[in-house]
Formats: sequence, C-alpha cells, structure tokens
Amino acid sequence: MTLQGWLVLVLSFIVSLLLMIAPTAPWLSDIWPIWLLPVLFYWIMALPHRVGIFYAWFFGIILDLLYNSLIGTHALALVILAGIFIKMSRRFSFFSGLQQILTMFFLNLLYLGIVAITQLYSNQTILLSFWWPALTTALIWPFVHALLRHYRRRFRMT
Amino acid sequence: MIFHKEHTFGFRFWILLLLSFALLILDNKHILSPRLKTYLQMAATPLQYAIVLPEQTYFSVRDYFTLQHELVHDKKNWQDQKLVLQAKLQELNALKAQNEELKSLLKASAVQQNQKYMMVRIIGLKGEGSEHEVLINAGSDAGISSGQALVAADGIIGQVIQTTPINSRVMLLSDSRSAIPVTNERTRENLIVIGTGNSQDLNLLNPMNNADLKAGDTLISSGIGGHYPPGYPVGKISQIELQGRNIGKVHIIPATNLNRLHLALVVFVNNNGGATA
Repeated sequence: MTLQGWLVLVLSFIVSLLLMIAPTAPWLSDIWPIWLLPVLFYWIMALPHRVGIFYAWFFGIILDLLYNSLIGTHALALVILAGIFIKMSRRFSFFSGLQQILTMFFLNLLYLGIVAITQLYSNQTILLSFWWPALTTALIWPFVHALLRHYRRRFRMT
Repeated sequence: MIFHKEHTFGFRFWILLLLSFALLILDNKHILSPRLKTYLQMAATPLQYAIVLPEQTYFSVRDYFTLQHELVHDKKNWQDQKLVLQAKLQELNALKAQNEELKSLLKASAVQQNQKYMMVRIIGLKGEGSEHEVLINAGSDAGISSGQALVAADGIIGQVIQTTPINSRVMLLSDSRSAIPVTNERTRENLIVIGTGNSQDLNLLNPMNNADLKAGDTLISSGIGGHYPPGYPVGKISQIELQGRNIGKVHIIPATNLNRLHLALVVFVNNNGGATA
C-alpha cells in the first residue's frame, strides 16, 4: 500500500474518533452514531490482511481515554465486535444492502450492550436513549461504505 | 512483537480480550497507576483540541475582522456596563459589611469565605450516553484540583472531576452522576438537584410530599457538603409532576445553558474563618 493509502486509512479513523467526541445539538446528541464502528468494519472487510483485531483494541483504548471511561471498556467491546465481524466479513460482503444494514444494527446493539454492562458495573444509569445510536449507525453504513470505497479505489489501497 | 503472522486469529483475539478485561478490572480497583492514565490522557488531548479548532478559528477570525465602529460601540457598551456594575458593587459592599455586623451581633460562627476565580476556556465534548463532560484549558499546573466548582455568568455549571497538568475534566450539572445541594430562594428549604443526562432538564432528588415548591422557584447552591460554593444560581423549577396527591418528578431548567459554554470561572475557596482570619 502506498503512503497515501496509509494516510487515508489513518485519517478515516481519526475523523471517526473526532466525530464521536464532537459536541452536538441536544436533539442530535441522543441519536449521534457510533462513527468508529462502520469505519472499522469497512476496513476489516476491505483490507482483512491489514486491519484486524489489533486496530479494534487500539482505537478502543483511545476511545476509553477520550470518554474518560474505565480503561478497557470500549477496547473490550470493540475486540469482541471485531472478532465476530472478522469471522463473518466474507459472507457479509455478499449481503444485500438491507441485509447489511440489519446485520449492522444487531452488531451495534451488541456493542452498546457490552458498553452498557461495563457502565452499569461502574454505577451509571443507562437511559432508553442510550440505544438509539444502534439504529442511526446502521443507517449511515451505506454512506460510510460508499465514501471509504471511493477513497480505497482512488488510492488503490490493497 | 506478539502479533506474528504465524499466530492464529483465535490466539490474538483471546489475548486482546483478556488484556482488555485485565485493564478494566485494574482500573476499576484503582490499581492502574493514575499517573500512567494521566499521561495517556494527555497523549489523547490533541484530538480533543482538534474538535474545537474549527469553531475557535471561526471566532478568532471573526474577532480579527470586527469593524471599527462595532468595536467603538462595544467599548461604549462595556463602559456603561462597568459603571452600573461598580455602582452595584458599592451597594454589595455595604450589604456585606452590614451582614458581618449582624452576624457578629448574633454571635454566628458562619465561616467567611474568600473566593478567587480563574478564567478558563471550555472545550466542549460529547460524552457517551448520560455523561456530560467538558474539558477546560487549565489543569493541576494552574492549581486546579478535583472537586472545584465552575461558574459561568448565569450560575453554576459543574465540578472538576479529574485533572492532568494541562487541562481538567468537568462534570456538568446535567450529568446523570451529578448531584448538588441547593436552597429554595423563596422558602429557604434545602434540597438536592440531580442531573438526568438531558442538558436542559435537571430533577430534584426525592422531593418530600410536604415540600413547598412552586413552578418558577429559583434554586441557589447551599454550599452544604463543601464541594460547591454557596449562593450561586443553579436553576429554576419549570414543572412539577404530580402522581396522585404526591409530588413526582420536579423539573428544573439549569440557570446556564449547558450546551453553549465558552468561558467559565473556576472557583477557589479559601476558608479564612475563625482564628485563621
């Protein structure tokens, strides 16, 4: 992969992290997607020999630092999610658009569920609105997918 | 490097899973060195600064290109305001002296608090779920420590919960973990206001059925517990839900719009009471 390719890869992760901590209007705040998930899933699917479980763990730790959660919370959730997704990514790429969105929805729910368990463990309340991002993250998947595919082809990332 | 090509996927998966688990437990039991965590968090700071960069660039560019007549107009406004505030200050000083006198007549042992302020810039963040936290651009190097309160022009906004040498994390009143002791200005009743995870709605903690509450009541910090300084506005009761004849949820609008914070003051309290005065 070229230097530009690596730049695209790293930048896409950085942008998704920035989006996750970007302050938003209150009404948007409840449905704000988990931007890191579709980005991570796309690269696992497109570059399976490069992006894998270690990326998930590493960005999970960074997320823990940004959110000031217990170190390991998001790392744990992302490692489990990436583990599941790596096993199914080959099949996933043959799914229809709607099937992909549905699968993403359940994966996001699982991610939020793991985060919720660890947050309850540190005595925090989980509101009903906590689960909304599972839906919105699934809905942005086609757009993230199209955008990242565009850049992957343009910079011939393999 | 533990991640050799020959290691199977399963091996890497379990190692990282266990590692995450171990970190989680170590951090929860406070075994993980706080110093290490602080350094790691400082390493992640550039991302947090980067997110407010566009906004701050906009503000500084706008400030730079402000027209002269606007500046003149602003200056005149500030001067007028300063005059009004100075007049009010004199009134306040007189009241303060009177208050002292009354207190000494009553032989009250109330602690006289001297407060100092430090102006800080707020870096907004989106927390996860019901977490409402922001960063401020000063930390332990500037003398800030956990537990200090933050006030904005309209009232209290939150409390420092963690510091690094260069910045600190502030938990806003709307965070679901936040609780602040308050006094109802009208009735002098002591109450506790808790966050709900909604930035425009705070609640009362277990309001009693015989509590004298009305929509429109102003709640000010009572200073009980010592974390928050007394006398600052916290919010106004907007709505009281009734469950039959009992008081259910009491909704409170925060005194400050917690979504639009740019500058705030960190309160330093010196207890110069009694013999040490």
